[in-house]
Amino acid sequence: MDLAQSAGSRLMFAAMALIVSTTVAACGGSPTEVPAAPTIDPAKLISSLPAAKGDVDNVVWNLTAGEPDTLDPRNAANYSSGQIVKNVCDSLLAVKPDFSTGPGLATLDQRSPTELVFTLRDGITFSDGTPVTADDVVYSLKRSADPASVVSFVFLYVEAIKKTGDKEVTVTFKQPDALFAGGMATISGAVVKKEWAERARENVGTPSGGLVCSGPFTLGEWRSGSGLTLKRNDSYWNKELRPFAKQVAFTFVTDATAVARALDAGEIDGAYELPVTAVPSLRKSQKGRLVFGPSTQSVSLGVARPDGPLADNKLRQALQRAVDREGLAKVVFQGAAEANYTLLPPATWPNAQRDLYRAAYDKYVKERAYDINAAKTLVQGSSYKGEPVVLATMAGDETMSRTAQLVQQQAKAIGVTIKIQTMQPLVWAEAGYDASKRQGVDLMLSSNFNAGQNPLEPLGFDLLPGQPYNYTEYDNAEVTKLLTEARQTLDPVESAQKIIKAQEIYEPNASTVPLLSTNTITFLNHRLTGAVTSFAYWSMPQMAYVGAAG
Amino acid sequence: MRRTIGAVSGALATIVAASFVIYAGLSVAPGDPVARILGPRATDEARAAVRAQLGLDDPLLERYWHWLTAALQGDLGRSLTYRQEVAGLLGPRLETTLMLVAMAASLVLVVGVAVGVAGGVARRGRPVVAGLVALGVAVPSFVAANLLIGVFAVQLGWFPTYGAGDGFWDKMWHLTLPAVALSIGYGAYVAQLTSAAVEEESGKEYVETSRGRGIPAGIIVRRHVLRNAALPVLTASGLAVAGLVSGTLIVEQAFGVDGIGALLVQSVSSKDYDVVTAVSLLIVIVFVVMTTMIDVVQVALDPRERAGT
Repeated sequence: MDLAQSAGSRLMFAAMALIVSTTVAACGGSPTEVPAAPTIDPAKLISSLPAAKGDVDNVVWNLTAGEPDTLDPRNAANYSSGQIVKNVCDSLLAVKPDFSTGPGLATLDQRSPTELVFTLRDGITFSDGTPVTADDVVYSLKRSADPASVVSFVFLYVEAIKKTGDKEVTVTFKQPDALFAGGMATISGAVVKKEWAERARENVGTPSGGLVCSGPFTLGEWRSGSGLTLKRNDSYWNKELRPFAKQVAFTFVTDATAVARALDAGEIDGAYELPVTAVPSLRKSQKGRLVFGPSTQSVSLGVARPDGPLADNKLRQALQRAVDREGLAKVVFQGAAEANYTLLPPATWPNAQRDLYRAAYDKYVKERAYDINAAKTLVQGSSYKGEPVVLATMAGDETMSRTAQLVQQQAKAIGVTIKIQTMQPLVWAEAGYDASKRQGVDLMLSSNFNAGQNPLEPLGFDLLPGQPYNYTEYDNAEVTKLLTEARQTLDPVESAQKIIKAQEIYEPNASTVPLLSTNTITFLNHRLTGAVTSFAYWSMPQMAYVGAAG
Repeated sequence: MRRTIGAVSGALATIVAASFVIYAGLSVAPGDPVARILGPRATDEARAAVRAQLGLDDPLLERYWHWLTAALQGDLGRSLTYRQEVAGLLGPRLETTLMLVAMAASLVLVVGVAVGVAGGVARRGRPVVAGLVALGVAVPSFVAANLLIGVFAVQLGWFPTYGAGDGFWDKMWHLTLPAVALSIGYGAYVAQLTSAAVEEESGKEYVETSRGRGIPAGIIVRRHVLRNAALPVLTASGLAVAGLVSGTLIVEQAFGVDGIGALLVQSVSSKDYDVVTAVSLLIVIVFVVMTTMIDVVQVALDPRERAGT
């Protein structure tokens, strides 16, 4: 049975570590005017624009996170590198704009809870015309599983990866792992040409070494510092995904103001991951449209240590009610976000079980609605004595710094003193996994994302004992049991019920104050259409869809 | 001769000392570059393995010595984040930045000196020049950048809004606005110093005497005033040109120009040792070379300095 096809949404994405590397220069930000609050209807979020009508010679696309550091698929875990790699390399499975997955280079068969079999499609070829073989797949997966690879954590429970037939690769597991299969639709499951990669060695995915895969585009020229081009792979094996653009030229402009101006002048055709600060000027542009797409990205306040004033659940509950999430979404995020009330942002609910999750979610929307008086009462009933609560944020992100300030103001209104501590990006990244680097920090304002719709992914990291993101050392036997069972349950409804049951236990004394579910902000020139505008773009050969509008 | 050897060895010592200060400074700055290389979800073992492989746990002096000996053989090392040779990263960016600096330097020297001389010679023009200079010094380069783009790129459409372009003429066209933005501050500084120097020389007794003897004003300005005012102007211009290189850090960001300034900003935040050291050292070298050159030219221009040795 082809599991990938029959139960697409059941397949889960593995967590994809994302290193947000946007360098926002302090000098480049736009003025901090507060525009007329725009309203956005979440139902109007757009996952993809109308299909392209014809070919174009050249598309100029900006990588707002800057030049990719590497195009080696196993290390391409940030915005720019991942976006490009997915155009050049196919993975074993493929992602659709609604985040569901299906067959890619291979179809998937779950033979037993600890055995997965990938069967390669017929007629799949690398861009140099040679066939993609089971040897290439085994080699590529082992490359990804190497401890020095950024995606190696996906292979945590893998016991062996073996070629079991001409067109068959079998992966066996030490313990069942429902997260693995979804990972095979992302860069973790990307297939490179073995013979070439063995020759290129450490130059895989560098400007000098290039990249040889089977995707809809090939890597053209990569001039370090100035630009990178992709050329259409005219012999692409998948005729349904033949790109409309003959060439895509990527630019590396990171300054929000500079990007917005170039898009508005039509010098750049499109860009993903535009910073919120670019929204006001681009909303008015005559040259193209600004689109907000659904995304599994979110912003939240996480308690950073097991002790300190926030060890008191009453104080944590007070914070849940003290922040005006709707206001934050409108004013600071320019409408490119929606309020979020639980650890699981609604965007991570699998499409088929949304009603189940929705019913459980609505209760928290009411319970955690913005209410200063209720929050004040909670603070008064707590053990909080007015000591400063340290809130850490990452330096260099204007939107996050304004969010921190808003939280600080609103906490003040309920009698809680917040001290903001800004951390340099590298220190911030370290504090994420090293407790000694976040000593004295009570709360961390962070943005997170899941590469797909999989509730188990964030929950596992945050709630299971011994996990690196379980900062408060949360350990509830019942929650652990339910989540572990859910991970081994193949029936999506039953799995969802277990997750919701766990949610009923952990949310009442949660250590996370969820704030927003943020949207993917995309701009596209009117001459073009077809773009995938949900965050799924990042796991898809997204440039293949972009073509002429008329 | 001895003086020249002294100047050169002094310059070399400065460069080596600077390289150590940069290297050591970066190593005490907080943050582990492996956080960026492996991402947040790597295991502790994987991190330790990468640290060992890159030699990040070795003592500072040992690492610096490795870097220095390799650098002396022309190997600038490998970027931690870009996973490629530093020389390969620097090459194309350096071309862009040098062109930008050369264009800005020409503007600083031609416009700055011309405005300064005009202000120094023509008494009636002085308030105008002083006003211009004050404005130029006061406007930060990123504000100038936004103004220039707003008017000449967005409204008039004469220049592109971002990027460095391809090929010589296209590059020149792309870098015109950045060069103007970059040159304003230092241009004003040079104009002010020039104006002051020319004004001071013009008021000296020998000039008054010459004027009294009926020598034409043009000849006095060319033969005497400018010649004597040349020393401070030259010193200021040399320092200004060296300063332009560090000024690219801000201007390149504002115009989306990927040069070494932008590269330095990114590399510092990811603690990419070899890249930061190479770029910072490059800036130091430009400064050292410029100041050494100023010294040498001063000797050539001033007979008293020559006699002093």
